[in-house]
Amino acid sequence: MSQHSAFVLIIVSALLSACGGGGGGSSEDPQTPVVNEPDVSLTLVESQAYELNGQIAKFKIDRAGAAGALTINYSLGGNTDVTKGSASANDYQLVYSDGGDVGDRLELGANQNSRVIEVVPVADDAFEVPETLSMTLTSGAGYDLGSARSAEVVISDATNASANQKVFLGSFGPQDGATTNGSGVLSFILQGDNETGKLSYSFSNLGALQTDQHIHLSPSGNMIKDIEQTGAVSNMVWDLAPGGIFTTEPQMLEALFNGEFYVNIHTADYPNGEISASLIYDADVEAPEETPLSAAQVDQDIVRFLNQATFGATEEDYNTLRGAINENGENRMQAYALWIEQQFDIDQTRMLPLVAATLAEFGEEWPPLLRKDAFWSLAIHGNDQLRQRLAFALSEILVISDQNNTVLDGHLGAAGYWDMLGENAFGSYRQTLESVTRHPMMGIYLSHLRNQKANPDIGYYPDENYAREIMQLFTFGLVQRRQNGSIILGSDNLPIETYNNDVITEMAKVFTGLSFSASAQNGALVSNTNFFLGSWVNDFQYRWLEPMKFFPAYHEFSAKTLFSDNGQAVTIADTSQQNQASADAELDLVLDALVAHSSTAPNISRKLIQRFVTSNPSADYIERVANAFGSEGDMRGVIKAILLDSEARNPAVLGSQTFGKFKEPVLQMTGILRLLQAQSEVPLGATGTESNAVRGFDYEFIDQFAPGASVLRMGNLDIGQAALGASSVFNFFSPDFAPPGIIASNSLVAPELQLITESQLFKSSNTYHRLINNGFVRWSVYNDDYRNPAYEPEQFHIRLNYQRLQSLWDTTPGGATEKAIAVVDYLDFYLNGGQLLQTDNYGTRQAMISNIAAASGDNRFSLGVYAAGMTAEFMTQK
Amino acid sequence: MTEINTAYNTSNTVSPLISLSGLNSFQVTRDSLINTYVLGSDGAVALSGFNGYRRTMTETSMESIDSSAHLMEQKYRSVYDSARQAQEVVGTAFNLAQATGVDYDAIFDAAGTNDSQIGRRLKTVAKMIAGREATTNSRPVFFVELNGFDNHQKLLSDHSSRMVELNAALKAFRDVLVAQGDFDKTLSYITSEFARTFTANGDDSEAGTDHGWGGHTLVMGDMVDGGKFFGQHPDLLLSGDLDTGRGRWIPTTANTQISAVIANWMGVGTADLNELFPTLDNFPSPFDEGSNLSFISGGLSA
Repeated sequence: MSQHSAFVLIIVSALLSACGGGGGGSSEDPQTPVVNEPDVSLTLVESQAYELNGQIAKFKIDRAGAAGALTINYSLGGNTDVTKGSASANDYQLVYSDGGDVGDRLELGANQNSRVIEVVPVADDAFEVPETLSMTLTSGAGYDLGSARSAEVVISDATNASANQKVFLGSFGPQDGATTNGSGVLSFILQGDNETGKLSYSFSNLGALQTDQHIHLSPSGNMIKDIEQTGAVSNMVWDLAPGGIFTTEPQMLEALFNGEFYVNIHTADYPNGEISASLIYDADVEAPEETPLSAAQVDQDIVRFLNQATFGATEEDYNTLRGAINENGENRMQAYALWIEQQFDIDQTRMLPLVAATLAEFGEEWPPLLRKDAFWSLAIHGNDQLRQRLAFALSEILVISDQNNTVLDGHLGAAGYWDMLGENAFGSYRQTLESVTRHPMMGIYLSHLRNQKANPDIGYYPDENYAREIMQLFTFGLVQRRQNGSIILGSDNLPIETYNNDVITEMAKVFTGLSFSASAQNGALVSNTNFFLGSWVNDFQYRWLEPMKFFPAYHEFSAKTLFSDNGQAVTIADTSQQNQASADAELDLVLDALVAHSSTAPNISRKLIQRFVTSNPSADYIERVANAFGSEGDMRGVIKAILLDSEARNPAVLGSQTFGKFKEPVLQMTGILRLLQAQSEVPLGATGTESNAVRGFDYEFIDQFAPGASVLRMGNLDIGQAALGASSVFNFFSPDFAPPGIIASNSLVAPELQLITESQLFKSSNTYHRLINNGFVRWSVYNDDYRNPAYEPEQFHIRLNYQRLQSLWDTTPGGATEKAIAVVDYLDFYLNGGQLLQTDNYGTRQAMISNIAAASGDNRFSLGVYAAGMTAEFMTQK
Repeated sequence: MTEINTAYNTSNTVSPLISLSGLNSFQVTRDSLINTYVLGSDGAVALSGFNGYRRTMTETSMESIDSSAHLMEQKYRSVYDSARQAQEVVGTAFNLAQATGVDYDAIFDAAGTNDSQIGRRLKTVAKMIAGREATTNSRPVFFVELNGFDNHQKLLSDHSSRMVELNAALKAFRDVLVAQGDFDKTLSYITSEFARTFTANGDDSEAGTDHGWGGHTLVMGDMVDGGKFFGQHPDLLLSGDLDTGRGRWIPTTANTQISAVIANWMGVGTADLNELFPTLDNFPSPFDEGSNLSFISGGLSA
């Protein structure tokens, strides 16, 4: 498409010869005047013509110097780029603006120095790409060609107003005879001039893992375009550039409107495509209204996205996303989608090696303290932010807690549990649940480690703990739900329970016979053959790191009738094959059924939405995420569905009284520590090169952390929450907690508010007071019995870094108030997505500004941080 | 019950529902209007460094949260307000408690609480009761939770240490209440959501039990006709009439029946008991002799 160019041409014409007029005129003997032939030029007045609204494109011919009538030769041409559209004679009429058709040659009348030529588009029913018409003046008698002798206009079907968008729809079905339950929907919104469009689609229930996706041509299957993203796609820009067998845009457009393109989803089982959806034009469907966001709204949304997807927005992360959006035609959704894909590819930052390495440096300390501190390094400095956020969310659903003494003592095992969650974060929930079930730390926490089958003669029966929680908390929950999370009522108008006590006793039999698969012998990892190996925690903790295995002698192999779904009970048949393979197969079957249960996707999806975006998602939002979850829990699909959903990305929520969530204490803390670059003096990486540099930890996997990461011996923070530290398997708060008052009376929930009690509120404020006044440090680094003499304890003190705020203060023009405004807006922008400014909150914003302006030195910035830890607005995430 | 007793609880700075163990599902009210005030284990937590610009800024900020603010911000503000107001009141209550001359620490030490968390919490409750003139609530309900009874493993070791801990704390609590002169005014109701299976889930010393149903409950106070069993003790017969499997006993007394007796003592008249406990009529009246639930000396109050 040609650039719309506007020319203003100033013609200075000197009349070189005068005909007639003039007074008197005596004539000397006239010499034949050497007349320079006038220059003619062609310029552009209006570059664009539209068929739909009749807008006319215009050329202008100019002659330097009036003279008699002049005929000028010209030629017409199309697009110099043969892959793009060229106008043909049927597409337009050339007429003069002062009347008359343009003939084979251009005509200027006597004394006419310029004339406008109109390119009038001919409206037709055909769908056309923008077509270029070029006009060039060619040489002829009576004139010279000026330097501007050629120009081009573009004739398009319609402008790109949203009303002119065309909608293509498709639904996913089995591709080419594949056997699958996969399904989904597709839309392609083509803009008015047919140049580019936005492709969106989602699908679920594939039979195997997705391997690839492309746009293909039917029926040949020829690949037209590769699509980089896996899973659901939202507003992906497709410019219809020629691909596959097509070499021109018009060919592509024709194939598009003929319904010959389809999106093909390839999976491991079906390399040629498991499901596909054809793009079919539907003239009756209007594209959804899309009001473009202002730059400020995009900025706020970037920060909101980062606060939802990471442990807290930073300048660096904001700049990266902003730059990507600027380069991408302001398409922020595409930038977010690509950011997520990049996060999928970043190496996992593991807690276990970090704990082991710090143990080597702080060898005398009680190791669980090092495991507790390690979380903060991952959250604050780890590069794999999305993965760690997901691990944190999963740790609040698939809960183990160091309130259990073995989990506390087993620092390597607990770190290994965290890493297992991180490893599975971008896989399937089905695999995560299997790894959790077999993890010895879960085995001790929910007591199915060494769980034995019944011995009715002596009178003992299998432990039912894990069997209950895996249903109640880890999968489908207590009541039957629809895909949109709503609770289904039975004929008695009451919720329908998903299991009863009999189901629990049956399920308990499944989780029998599991025990340690490894132990340490002289420091080496050996296979364990003793079902009754004890729960000792030693230096190696191999038994706590390796997955549990079945000991057939203690597993209950009898037939079982478990939970039902849609009227169908899950049953395990009696087996004569009483061996490990059989028990493994039984566990697989049960886990498959647990995750595929119709209430699992909505139950888990709702909990995950609550951890990332909002406490009260709409039913539609839950359903969209549950669809992405599918029957196996496609975590990549789920996290994209959660973060890219229109409900999460709607900028209007900043004004909402109910959308969003109260920041959980850990996330509120990490947000502040990340933004204010909390650091100790001890580098996590190598020792610095300056003289008197503090010795660095020289951690082997330093590349997994952000540049400048330091060692964070955080200590215990009295904020009411700590990773892997919940008071029970029900996590720190219930997904259904509704504090008494307006929230409960509006039928809303606010889980995180369960922690906001009078006593905890003040304890948390006091913690922020400590951060500001003193910084954080694990006090054991000061203990002479433990400390590593290579470091000074003071070097481990973690303090906020006010450099950026100071620089902001210094460079903002004006007085203290103007500078304070800059500081407040900075904190508000990164920590709140600009809520204070948005809601024009007179109270908090003004209170911050006036007190910060009145304070001096670093106290200004401390006040800002105190507000971030104490005021209501800084604690709600919208 | 607390809603029925509104006339007796007139403080607008401190709720009559006080918890030493966070928000819980026992202290809930029908209209969800009465909030539970949560105290720290040792009393109200004081705000550190709350002065100067910090204080001005925070107070102005909080005051600006009005009905147009986000609902969660409004709730946060109400908890903050409650904390600020209650702080003073609790301080006064503690001073009043001190003025009684009762040596709380000595009594709790003597009972062997060993500074346990439940011991400290009951000590705080006792002081709040002693200092009740600081608030104008005369029918408060205090909630204290002791965890660690979900013994799916290690029942014999863990359960016995829990019971020792509970025993010392209750003894200390009783002793200070007597010393303050409040033992006849304070009824302690010690209960659990459910009991345990009668059968174990293993055969070694580390075995435990699983979730059960019927179990025991304790009540303590000078108004209690003490040293006795009330209700109907079940026949602990596996596969008997009361066994739903593994010795999960069908209770012989309903929680509702016990609660009705306690509520009545707290001032809920007989006329209101059925409204408060809609399922009460499913069971024999706890006030009938045959129910054997006259654990409150002096019997039924109007």
